[in-house]
Amino acid sequence: MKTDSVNELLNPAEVLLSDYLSLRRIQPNRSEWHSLSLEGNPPRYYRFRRIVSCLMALDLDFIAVEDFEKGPFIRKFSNSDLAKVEQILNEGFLIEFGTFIDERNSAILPDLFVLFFKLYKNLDDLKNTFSSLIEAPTHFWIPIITKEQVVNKYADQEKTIERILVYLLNREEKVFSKSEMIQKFDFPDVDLDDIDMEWV
Amino acid sequence: MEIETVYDEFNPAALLLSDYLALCRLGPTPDEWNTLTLSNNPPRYYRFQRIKSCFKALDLNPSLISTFELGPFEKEFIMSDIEKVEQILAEIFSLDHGVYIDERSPNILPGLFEQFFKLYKNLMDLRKTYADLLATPSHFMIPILAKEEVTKNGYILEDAVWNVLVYLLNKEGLTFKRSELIEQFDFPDVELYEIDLEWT
Repeated sequence: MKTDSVNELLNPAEVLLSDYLSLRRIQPNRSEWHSLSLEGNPPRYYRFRRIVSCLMALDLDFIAVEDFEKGPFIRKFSNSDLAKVEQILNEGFLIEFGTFIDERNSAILPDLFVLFFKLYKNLDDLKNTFSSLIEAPTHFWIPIITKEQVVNKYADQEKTIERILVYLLNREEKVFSKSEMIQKFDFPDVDLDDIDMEWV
Repeated sequence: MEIETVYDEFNPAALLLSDYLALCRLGPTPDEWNTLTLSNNPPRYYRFQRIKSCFKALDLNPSLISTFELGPFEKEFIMSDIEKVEQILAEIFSLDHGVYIDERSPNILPGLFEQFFKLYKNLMDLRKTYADLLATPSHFMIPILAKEEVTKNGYILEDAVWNVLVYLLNKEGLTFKRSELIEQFDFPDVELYEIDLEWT
């Protein structure tokens, strides 16, 4: 995720999801996810630092980074959280939410996070099928175009799933400027694009 | 893929792809696949035996199983193979020859196999997002149905990618009865779903 201007307001949950998935792609082995082992590799290291910072900004820093996808929730959800998730879901899907929930119980929300995260991760992997190709010969456009056609078809649904995850991670919808993130939560003051470019 | 009756004819390339992907999801990475390491796990062992049998039926070199994803091809492709692949893809989108005109040669086909295989694998991982859930309380249906809504958008493209892979593995369109596979190519005479059920 681009974090260009220092004044632009960031939702740490959005930054977190995006950095978490890209770190997962470039270093799939999550047991290697700690400052020490990532330090020698700036693209990995700064993503890790940004993830840690976002967890802090969201008061979710009790969880180990590598356990994030198990659902970083201690605080109970309320019925209005459930209603909000239903509302977001209805904007992208035809699912009759009420049919599947026995007691309209907000205790199901951590499960929904874990399951929707799996789906979001697989959509992200599909979207990035060819992202590691650095120099592609021209005929590789054929599979690349095929992939784009699939991905375009579900782009709206992917966005809906992302909004559900972001809401569950940041119910208060807190936002911060990048400079606030840097000062309060030790967000690294670097531009990921620059870091990635220098590393190649 | 289930083998239903003794009369059906099977395309070994289709069996091969489906068993290969299933074994990837179940178990160790392909470089660790051998009869010895898999023998104490029947669901893995019999899939591996089926993969070896399909390799034989397709006249492919079984020593290339561990590098299958790069394209297990020793024979050269010819110009009409390119035309056939273009024809399959034409069913999903109009392919502009201009995008790769400088390399419209049969030599690109192994590379295309590799890239289309990556794409198909990610499409299958998406489709199987929730395949490993053992219990499904009713609220799990919400993400499960969301996943269905997402993937149904891609079925036509998915089929075309599959058809390209099957064609490249089996240009002659060979088919065999199950009994022929068993007699001629050591296909294991077991039902996978029974094997899987006993193992669970």
